[in-house]
Order: sequence, then C-alpha cells, then structure tokens
Amino acid sequence: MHFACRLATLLVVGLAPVNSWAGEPLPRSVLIFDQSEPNSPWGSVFRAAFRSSLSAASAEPIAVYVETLDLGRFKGPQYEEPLRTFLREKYRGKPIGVIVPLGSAALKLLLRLRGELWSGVPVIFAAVDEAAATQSILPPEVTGSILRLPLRNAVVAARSLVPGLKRIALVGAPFERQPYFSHFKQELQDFRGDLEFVDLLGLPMEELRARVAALPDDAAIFYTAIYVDGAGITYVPREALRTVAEAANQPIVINAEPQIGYGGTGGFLAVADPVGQDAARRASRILKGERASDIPITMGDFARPVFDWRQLQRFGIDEKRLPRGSEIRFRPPSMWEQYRTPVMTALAVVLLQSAMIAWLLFERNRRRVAELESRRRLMEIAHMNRSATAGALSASIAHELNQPLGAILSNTEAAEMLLAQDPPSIDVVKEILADVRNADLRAGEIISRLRGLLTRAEFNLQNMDLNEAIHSVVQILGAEAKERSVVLTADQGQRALLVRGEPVHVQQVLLNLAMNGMDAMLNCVPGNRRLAFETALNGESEVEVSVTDTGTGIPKDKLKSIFDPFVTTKQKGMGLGLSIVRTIVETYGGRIWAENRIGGGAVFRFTLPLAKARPA
Amino acid sequence: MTLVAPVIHVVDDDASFRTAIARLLRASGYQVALYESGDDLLQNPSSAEPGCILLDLRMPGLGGLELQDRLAKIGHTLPIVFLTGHGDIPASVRAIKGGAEDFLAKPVSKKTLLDAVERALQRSEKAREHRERIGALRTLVATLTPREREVFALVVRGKLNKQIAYELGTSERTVKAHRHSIMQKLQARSLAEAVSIAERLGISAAPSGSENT
Repeated sequence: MHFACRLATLLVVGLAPVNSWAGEPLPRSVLIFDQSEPNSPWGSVFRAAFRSSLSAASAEPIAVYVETLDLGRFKGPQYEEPLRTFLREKYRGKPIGVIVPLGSAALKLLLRLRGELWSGVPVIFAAVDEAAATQSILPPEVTGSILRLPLRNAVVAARSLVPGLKRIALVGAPFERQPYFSHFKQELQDFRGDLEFVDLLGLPMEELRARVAALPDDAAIFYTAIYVDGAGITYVPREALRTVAEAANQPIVINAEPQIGYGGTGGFLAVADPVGQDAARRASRILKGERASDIPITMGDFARPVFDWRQLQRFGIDEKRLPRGSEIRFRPPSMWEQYRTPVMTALAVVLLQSAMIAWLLFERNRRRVAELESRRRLMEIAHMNRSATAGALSASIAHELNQPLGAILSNTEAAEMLLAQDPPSIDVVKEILADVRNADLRAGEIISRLRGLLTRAEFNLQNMDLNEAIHSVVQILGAEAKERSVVLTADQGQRALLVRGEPVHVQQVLLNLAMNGMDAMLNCVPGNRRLAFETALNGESEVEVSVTDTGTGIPKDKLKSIFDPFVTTKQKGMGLGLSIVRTIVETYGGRIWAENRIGGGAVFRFTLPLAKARPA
Repeated sequence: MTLVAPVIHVVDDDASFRTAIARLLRASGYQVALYESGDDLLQNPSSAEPGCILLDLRMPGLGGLELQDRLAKIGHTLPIVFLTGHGDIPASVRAIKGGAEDFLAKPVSKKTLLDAVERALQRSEKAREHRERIGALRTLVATLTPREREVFALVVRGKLNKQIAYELGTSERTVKAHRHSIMQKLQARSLAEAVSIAERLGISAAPSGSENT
C-alpha cells in the first residue's frame, strides 16, 4: 500500500510537469488555512508577515484568502462535513494557487479536504509539529517548515532565570495532548540526572495555584498551555497563564510568543514572523513556477529568547544572566526613549546656550582685558604727556624757584650785616627770619607741584574739588605766564566744586588746554595775552569748564578734528595733547569741544559729572 | 662831587625778594626806592638823582627789557643792572646792547650784587660829571654871538681864514678878530681844544651853527 502510494506519488510528480500545469500559470491567489481562532495573536502575526513578505516578493497583486478554523474548539465529523460543503460553495469560481495550512491540525484537515476541494493545488504547511509532518506520508505538491520546540530551550531559559536550578515544575495540559510538545516525554529523560521534574500537568487550577505558590527557591516553572484544567474548566491558554502566574512564587518559563506579557517570565519563544516569511518565500517560488515537491521540507525552532522586564524585576533577575541576544519587552521606556526628540532639542538648546554664554563670557573677558590694557596705555601716555609738560615748564619753574631762593639768600646776608651792627637790629632780623621761613615754604610748594606733575596716576573716580585743580594749574603756570606776558585769570567761587575724577588727570586736562592757549598767543601783542578759566554749573549733574585765550583761534576746518591724534595747528606740535585731553575727559564721563571766540581767540569747553554728594 | 646820596631803584614784582634786596642794600648803606612794576617806576621819575636801577627781567605787564627801552626813549640815564631768575642768552644780549650795566642771576650773592651796584653808581657818577661838563661847555658856546658861531663852525671844520672870509662875505681881518674872541670865550688855548669842544657838543658835523643835542 505504502509502496503503491509512493509509486503513485513518483508517477504524479514525474508526469505533472507534462500534463498537469505545464505552461499554465497557477492562479495568483493563496488561501491561508489557519487552525487558530480569528483573534489569535500568533496567527495574526503570521498572516501579516506572510502578506507583507509575499507582496514584497511579487510585482503583481496576489489575492490572499484566510480561513480561521478554530480547530482547538471545533472538531469532529459534525464540524468537518458542513465545513467541507461551506468551503466548496465559498470557493466555487475562486481558483486557489497555493494553500498554506497553519498548524498541524490545519494540515491534517486540509489533507483530508484537498482531494475533493483543491485537488493538486500545492500546499505549504507552516508551524507544523514534527510528528504531524513525518508520521504520515505526505501527498505530492506539499512542502513547508516544521516547527520544533526542543525542551532544551526551556531548560536553558530556566537555568538563566534561577541560579542553581534543581527542579522544574511542569505546568500545562499533558504533553500527549499537545502535539507540539509530545516529544518532551522523551527529552525529559536527557535531563533526569541533573534536574528533577515536578509534574503538575493536568491539575485543577485551584490545586495548581497552591502548588506553584509553594515551590522551593531552586525551582522554575515551565508553562506550555492549559486549554482545559483537571476540573474540566476551559481556558484560553494565556489567560490560564495569567492565573497561574499570579500565584507562582518562582519564574515561569514559556515558549510561545503570545504568552509573553501574561505573567510568563520569558524563554525561547516560537515567533510567528520568521515562520510567515518562510511560508511566503515558498509561496512566491511556487507561484513563479517551481514545483512544491522540489522545495525541501525544513525544520527550525523559530525561537528567540524573549523576556518580560516586569517579571525580571518581580523576581530580581539580573539581565546579564539571560541568554545572549535576549530581547527584553515591556521595559518602561526611559526618559531618553520616550522623549528623545524633545530631550535632544532641549539638550541642544541648552548646549547652544551654554556655548553662547561661554563665548560671551570669553568675549567679555577679552574686552575687559583690552579695556584695562587700553586704559593702562592711556595712563602711560598721559604720564608721558605730563612729563613733557613738566619739561616745557621747567625753565619757568626754575625761575620761579629762584625767586624765594634769592630772597632767602639776600635776607640771610642782610641779617648777618644787621647782627654785626652795634647795636644789632634784632627786630629787623626777626622779620627777616619770618620772611626766610615763608620763602622756604614757597620753594617747597613749587617743588611739590613739579613733583605732582611727574606723579603716576591710575584711573580713579573720587570726589575732587575742581576749583582746587584750577587753582593748582594757575600756580603751576604762573611763572610761565609771566615769562610769556600772559595774564592768567580764574573765576573761582568760594565753594568747593566737587566732581568725580582723579585730580592729577583733571589737572592735566586744564594744563594742556592752558598750554595750548598760551602757545596760540605767541604772536599776539604782549599787552593782549589773556588766558581765563571759568566754571559754570550745567544743570544739576555736570559742570562746564571753559579755557579761553585771545590767540589766533582755530582754523574752521579743524574745529572738529583738532582732538584727533596727530592733528595740530602748531608748527612743532605733536598733536597728542588735545587727543589725550579728550580721552581723559571721556574716560571720566565728560564731553569736550572747541569754539572760536568772536573777536579772536578760542574757547575750549569740557564737562565733568558732578559728585552726587555735593556739600550744600 | 655831589652832596646828594645815590638812590638804588629796585623794580621787582616779587614782594619778598624786593624786601630782601632792600634790606641788604640798606644794611650796606644805600638809599633804596622800591617799585613793584615798570609802570610804577615810570610814574615816579627821579633820573635827576645819582643812582642806579635794579631791574627784574620778567614781570607781568611791562617786562624788564621793555622798561629799558622806554627809559632810553625818554632820556633816562640811570644805569640798569638786570636781575633775573632765569636769564637766557638772547635776553642778556639784548639787555647789554640796550646799555645795561650788568646782568645778574638770582639768587645773587651780596658781593656780586654790591660790586655791580658800585660799578653802576660809578658809571652813573661819571655820566653825571660828563653831563655837567657838557652843560658848562654849552654855557660857554651860548655866550658866542651868532656871527661868532658861524665862524666857529667853519673854523672847527678846518677852513682857512681866507676861505671863511670869502664864504661869509667879509674881510680876513674881521674873521681873525672873531677867532680871537671865540678862543677867549671858550677858554680854548689852541685850535685843537676848540675842535674837541665842538665835537663833544656835536657842532663840527653840522653845516650850520645851530645846536642839536
């Protein structure tokens, strides 16, 4: 019988290309013959993977029909007979190119129906257990992949979940009633030496829950599937898993993808994706003209190590112990995963801002350093300018100094003579001594003024008396003015006029302006050389100082530029004095400008901010 | 020679120096007059007296050199000693050219000052004597008749009597008589002395006999 069948198969296989569909293309349609119920996750994933892989492999559209048969709950001739009639009527006029039975029960049913309904249509089975695919002789034009789920996978997973694993509690329907796990009975023998298997198969739920709640620490639970418990109550396997897991005190190893997330800790799960892809590849080849019989039947575990993060947490299992390449599901997405874009954006903004702030700080620092440097240089130049002024004034200052020195000498010589007289004129000598002291003090003052001119001074905001500065400038210039026949006047109030600034620098401003004015009067008639300092309050906040001369005035085109460096109206001028003056005035928060006087001569005016705490 | 004591006129704007110098000079036995400016001096002229001027070079208003010019213009003859705290070469040259007696730097020692003052006073004295001599000669010349003056002017130019007579349209004898009278009036013992008098009074060069000093 067997031999005859094989012979027939060979004959059919051999003849088929000749008489069956030689040159006649298969209808471009596929029927998925799914043994599970319509909502089965595994079936859904399989179908989705199959459809997408198939359409990706084919340029033309292929119709895919699906029959979800729910064979777990509906079986027997009373179901099969109406089904047969139903399918025959349903697919009348809908030629099918390839039929894909999903699951062992579906394959078996299909093989029973094929002869009548879809004679000779190629079959690609998927997720079929080894026994179903090998125990009976397959008819021709049948190919597919065998799903083998070895017990070893479960043991490996259990060992990774429970360190020092000694026993595995087996939970589920008895193995002989589960086609996919029927081979476990033999495999169990392989591990008997190392592990103890606690048989909790087929127990009523209540008892089962009590047993799994009292397992020792070195035990793991291996859950296959419960459809009906020992008390005869029907379950959806994954709901049964949830009930068991609630009570379990040890991790539960599972081996089907739909069960993840229902209380199972994880394990090597048979995943539907690659199974669907494999079936689609085969379908595509057949639709392109290959013979189904020419495509070998293969066997694979299609299993991936997948674990439930929540269960790992529950049992305190370190992820590092899990098999290499394990996928962790249900991990709450980290802040980073959940808000990647906003976090990145915020981070980028913060980074950008920080960079900007850093840059601005850097620039600010550079600016500060540059300002300090420029100020230092200015003070240096101002000091050089003062030294030069001191040099220019040295002749007249020496003259001025000789005045008290001469008086002292003549007075002492007169005193000597008066003391030599008989009787000596003591009263006159007393007067002489007083005069000598005064002259000496005057000489000391002249020297200290000269020294003041040579002092180094830094930028310094302090309250200073502007009138005193004018007074000291008049003193310093007195001798020089006399020599040049210039009449110096300073209109000064009695009150101190407090401004903010460094006395040395303010004095320098006045001195430079005065020297300029005196230079401008070199060619005037001696009787008409007048230089005047005047001050006037300019509102509440500043004071305006004017330095007026009766000299030649300033050429109109130079009124503005005269404060620029190296601009001069003098024959021998460097053009630095006024630029230093302007820089100093502006450094202390004032303004400076020049005007020509009606009737000849020039007026230089500058302002300085008044000190706030002005004495009333 | 004179009964009037010499007066030293001190012109300096610096009161303390002025006072000190005055004390020194007074202690040395001089009479001192003090002025705080050149204008002050000009308003109180006293050139008739013997003495000298101690003048500060630099002063506000009228400076020392300007004052020197002004004094020269109005015929002030007192010798000037300049005193300065800071004298440069151009100023000193200008001062000396303008007839300054001396140019001293402040501070000045007693000896230097008194020496200079003494020299100035001597010169002042000499000048006074000279002025007095010239005055006496002028008095003598004033006694000449106009005709005698004409003759005198021609004589000192070295003209012969004959030439003079021809020029004046008179006789040689008359000229001789005039000459004799002139020599007596001028108390000149020789022609050379008469020429010297004419030169001192600046008559010789003048084409006519009119005075011009």
